[in-house]
Amino acid sequence: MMLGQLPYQLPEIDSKGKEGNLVLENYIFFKNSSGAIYGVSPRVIEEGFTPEDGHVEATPEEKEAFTKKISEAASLERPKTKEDLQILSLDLKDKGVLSQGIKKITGVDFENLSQKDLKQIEQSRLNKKNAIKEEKKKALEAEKKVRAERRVASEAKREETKKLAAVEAEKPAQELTPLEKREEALRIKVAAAKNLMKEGD
Amino acid sequence: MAKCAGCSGGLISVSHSDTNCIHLTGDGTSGSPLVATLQIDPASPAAITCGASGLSVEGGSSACAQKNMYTVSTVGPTGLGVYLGTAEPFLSCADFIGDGINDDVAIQTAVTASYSAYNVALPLPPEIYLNTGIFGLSASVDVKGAPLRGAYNTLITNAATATGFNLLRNPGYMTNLQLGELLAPLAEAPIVIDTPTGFPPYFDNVSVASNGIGVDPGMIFFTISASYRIQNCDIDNNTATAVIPGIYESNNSVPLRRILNNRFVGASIDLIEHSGANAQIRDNIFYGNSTTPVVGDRGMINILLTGAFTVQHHEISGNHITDSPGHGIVINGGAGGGQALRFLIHDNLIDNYGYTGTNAYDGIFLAGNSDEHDIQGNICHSTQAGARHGVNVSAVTCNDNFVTNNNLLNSGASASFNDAGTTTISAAGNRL
Repeated sequence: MMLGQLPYQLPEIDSKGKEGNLVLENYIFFKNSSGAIYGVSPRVIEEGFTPEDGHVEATPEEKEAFTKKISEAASLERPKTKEDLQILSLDLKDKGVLSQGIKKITGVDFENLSQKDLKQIEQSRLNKKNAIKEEKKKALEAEKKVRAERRVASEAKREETKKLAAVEAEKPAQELTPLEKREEALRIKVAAAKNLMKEGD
Repeated sequence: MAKCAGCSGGLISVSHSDTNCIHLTGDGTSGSPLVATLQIDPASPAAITCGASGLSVEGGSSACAQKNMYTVSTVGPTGLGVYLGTAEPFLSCADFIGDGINDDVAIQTAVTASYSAYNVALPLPPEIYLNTGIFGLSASVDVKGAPLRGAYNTLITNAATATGFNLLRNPGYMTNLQLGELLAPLAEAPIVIDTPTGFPPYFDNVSVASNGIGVDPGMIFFTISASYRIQNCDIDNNTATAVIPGIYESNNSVPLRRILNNRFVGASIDLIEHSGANAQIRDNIFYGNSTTPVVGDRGMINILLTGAFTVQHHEISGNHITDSPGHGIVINGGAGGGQALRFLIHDNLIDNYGYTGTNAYDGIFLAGNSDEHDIQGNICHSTQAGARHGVNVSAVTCNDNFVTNNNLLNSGASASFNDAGTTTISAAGNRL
């Protein structure tokens, strides 16, 4: 560690500390009236530290449990890269604990990953999905309506045709045009001539 | 590397890159003399002594006397695993170690130690340094004005099941810290100043985030009359539904306060004043981020008088206010006979106010006995339905204000400038 690298943190490391071992042996652990434990360094003890009223020294068992907790904490791999932090953020997201604070402490922009935003995104997706569903439903209904209208129209047309046919059937023979009259007269004449010829036979 | 005969363990020569222990500058030429200084490992003990065999340093774990602060570390809140506790070696080298759930106890004990040292031998309480990590609190820490410093990646939050308390009470000098709720709703202002100390609040580079508040109406809540300074801070309300006060004073009489160069998101400044003076509210950025103002006639900067006294000589300048759901800036003498007097309101950019309602909000709104203000060089602009006037001198009780040289183009549906005051001067004119 070079001078000036960490201007506000001058770690208290002895020979063991430099080898990477924890240096908690000389710490004294206290607990407050609620049972919360905290550790106090030898330096502070040497300076004549006196615990607040109601704070008592922790039992060896409590001390062991606390140091174990610290050792476990120290042994865990911590997030180092942005990707690590993003993975962590997902983990935290699952736990529902993301907030502005965690975004800031990790230095990664989790704006779009916050629980609230995710809920909003999810809600937006759901809304969109529902909108599409609704649209499809409406389109289907509209189509059904159109088909039904067509069916009704078709039925009506068929009925109309039937009626027209019936009317047509009952309708008296139409008056012939002059040309048709001449043709008819000719036909009758021919038929009469034929009859005459038959009779003459 | 060759050794110097007769100097056991020593070097014949040392160049710039040979060792981390001797620091060389210059190259030995004219005008650039070669200077050698010892490079001391800051983790080493306090003293270097000169003995028969050469220089030596004191050993032992108790010899870190060069430290002028108390350090605190945490294993990290249980709710987060321990991912974000203090890393080794800083974790177990700290003076006080917390358990991640009741870290308030470790920090409070550091405050006590700092005060003990201050009372015994030192002219000021030693600084308390909070290492990197998430400090989970189950109760408030009363900082009592002791200087508090974080590593910036230091977050103070409430522990998983803890709610309904202020994180810090009465901080004095405080820097490089982040405060906010993380694992549970906090339901109180993260910071409250309720007991005066000899060390006035001075927050620099502090981030305060909240998802809403409870009993205390501000994220930083002052109920005392001490001068203070808040600068380079981020004060964010994450609810995005309604603006809440980011800095709130309750019926105070505060002289010489300074609120400089901060960022407010969904959070306003609400100074409920009794008889303060000489406030500087400068160069802050406000973003409304919601559709609901704090209450009806409020904006993002609110100076509201409660008593029958005079509040005077405030400067509100260089602020950027966008998307306020209500007004931009409000100066209200109140109904108690108080007088807001002689404010400088200069060079503010106020855009898109009146984000809610219809024809109801102004860029700059003066009401009550709001007198002799100098309002110049501001841009007020809003095409929102709620925008009414750019500058509104709203009442006959507003006397002798000087409103000129403001850009009020497209600043409200009713009129860009409304003057219902007494002897308001607007010559040479505003752009309307």
